[in-house]
Amino acid sequence: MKEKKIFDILEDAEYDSMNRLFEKCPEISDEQLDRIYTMSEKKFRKMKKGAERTKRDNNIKMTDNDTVEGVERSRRPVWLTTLSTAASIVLIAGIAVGSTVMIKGNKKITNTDSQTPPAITATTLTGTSSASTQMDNAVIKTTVTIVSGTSGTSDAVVTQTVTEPASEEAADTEFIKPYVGRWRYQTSPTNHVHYDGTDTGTVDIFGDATYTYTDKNGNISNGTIKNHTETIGGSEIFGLEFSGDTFAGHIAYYTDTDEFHFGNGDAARIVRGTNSRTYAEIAIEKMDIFTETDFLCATITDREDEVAFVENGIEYHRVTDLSKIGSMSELRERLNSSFTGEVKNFFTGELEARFKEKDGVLYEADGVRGSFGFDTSGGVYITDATENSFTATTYNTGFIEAQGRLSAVFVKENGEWKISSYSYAN
Amino acid sequence: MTSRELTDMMKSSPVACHKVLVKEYGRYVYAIVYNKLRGCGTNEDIEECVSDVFADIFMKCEFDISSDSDIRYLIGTIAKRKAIDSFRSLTARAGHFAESDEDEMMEFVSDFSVDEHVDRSELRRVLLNKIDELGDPDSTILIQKFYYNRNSKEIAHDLSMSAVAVRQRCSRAMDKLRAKLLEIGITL
Repeated sequence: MKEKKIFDILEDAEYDSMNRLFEKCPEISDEQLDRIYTMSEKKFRKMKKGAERTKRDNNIKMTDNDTVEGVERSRRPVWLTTLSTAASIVLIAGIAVGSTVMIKGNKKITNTDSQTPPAITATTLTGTSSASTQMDNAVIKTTVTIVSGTSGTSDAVVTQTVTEPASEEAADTEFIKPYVGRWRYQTSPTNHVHYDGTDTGTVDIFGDATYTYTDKNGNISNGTIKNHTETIGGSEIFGLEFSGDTFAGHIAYYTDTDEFHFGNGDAARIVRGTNSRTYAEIAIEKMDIFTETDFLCATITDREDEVAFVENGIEYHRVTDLSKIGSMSELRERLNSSFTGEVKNFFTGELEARFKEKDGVLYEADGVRGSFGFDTSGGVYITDATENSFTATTYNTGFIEAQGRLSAVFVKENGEWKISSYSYAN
Repeated sequence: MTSRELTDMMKSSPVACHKVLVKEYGRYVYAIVYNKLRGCGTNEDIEECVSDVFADIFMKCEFDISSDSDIRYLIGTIAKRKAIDSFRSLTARAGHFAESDEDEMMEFVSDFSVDEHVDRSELRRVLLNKIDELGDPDSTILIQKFYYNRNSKEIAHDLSMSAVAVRQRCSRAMDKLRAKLLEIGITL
């Protein structure tokens, strides 16, 4: 915490210091930049609309010597007028009724009956005035009721104000709240989007049940979202109905909180988070780890020339570049989470022999061989997919037989996808 | 990029121009806004303010701002002003200046001392110098860890290192920085 405190001094920096801090500023992810761009564009359009309205009104005059004359028209919310009117009516009615009641209350009781009558023995509605207004999706209903006793000796005024937040509009946008945020729109060429779907664009869902879709080329389209519910075979199915023809269908059906599918097929969906990654995305990540690991076995890492120690006749050098492998525990974790079976055994045997860790320092023995990795730059296609296994094959048009891996078989082990075997090109 | 280049780009495609601006200067604006709002705003507040800055810049682009000067200065100025506005709004919302009577206001006034301001500025410069003396990647790791509040995994990803290596380097770099500051009489 102390460390953090001294770094607080860097806040509110001047130009020179600011530039130095900027140099060390982390890269901003494309996703974050897209989000900022979408928000900026939305705000900009709103500002531009306001500026254009003022310009259209032609109320502002600017002269060459920077003098501005005129009146800028500002638009008050529509509900404000209605609210003010309703409030005035209620106030006037209140004063009028209140005055009447007070005047009547001052009159002497002329009843000769010895028994004092109850103030109100039965209620009789003699007059009701009500006003309602809408504000921010809430309806405020004010009812003024004059109730008089049977004896006619006294009247009571009951003013009741009821706020009804559950207006139709509020209820209409309430359904969208759990789904507000950024989603990825994925489509599949083989109608198996959760196997081989690829990102086609991003969908930003907003709290007012509107959305903005940005495709890969930066084209933006906007629209609204409606709550969609249908009953099939007695089961209620929930969905989001998107306006416009932006997506593969209008209705995206709920699969789980992070996944909605368009239509009955499996051709397109919107997803968020990492739980809904496609088989193709998982395969590329693990195949790349395979390639890195194989490369680690095949090459010599940056290290000191001097021999640090000799064990069983093998010379070990201290590793200086810890970017590829930081420690043996990190390496074992990588092998455990990405490989299984013969692949894991193969890498474990080779790497445990190459690397040793002593007192937190990593050492490496000599060993160079050919490396055969996957080329995932063109993507992969998925076959033989089930809930627990699938095969991923690289789209590698320039593939030369026996110069790289082509397919990998994945199996699910303890909830994690791992490469269990691989094959060369046929 | 100069204002003239920007104006030319606006004429051909405003959307493309906006995108280029965000891509080119997003990090710069983020760094400025972060510097002001680091202590009082969340990540969402910072992103919100950055988007406000770009909305303002897009509005400016609607008018002819042709000149040969680098628009980086214009963007820097807009970012700084917007960040100050956001800072005031956020601190006011947090009740930092709520219910201040006359005596309290006097305290705020007396809080600002020119000497203190100069001292703080000098301390900032010294600290940055000492961090720079550590060299890369140690200086980057320290700034990103303690100033930009990033975790080791994120830093490791950017620097192509392992998270364990980042943690080790960070710990050693902090020891070195502590020693360097101690030499000039600053203790952590």
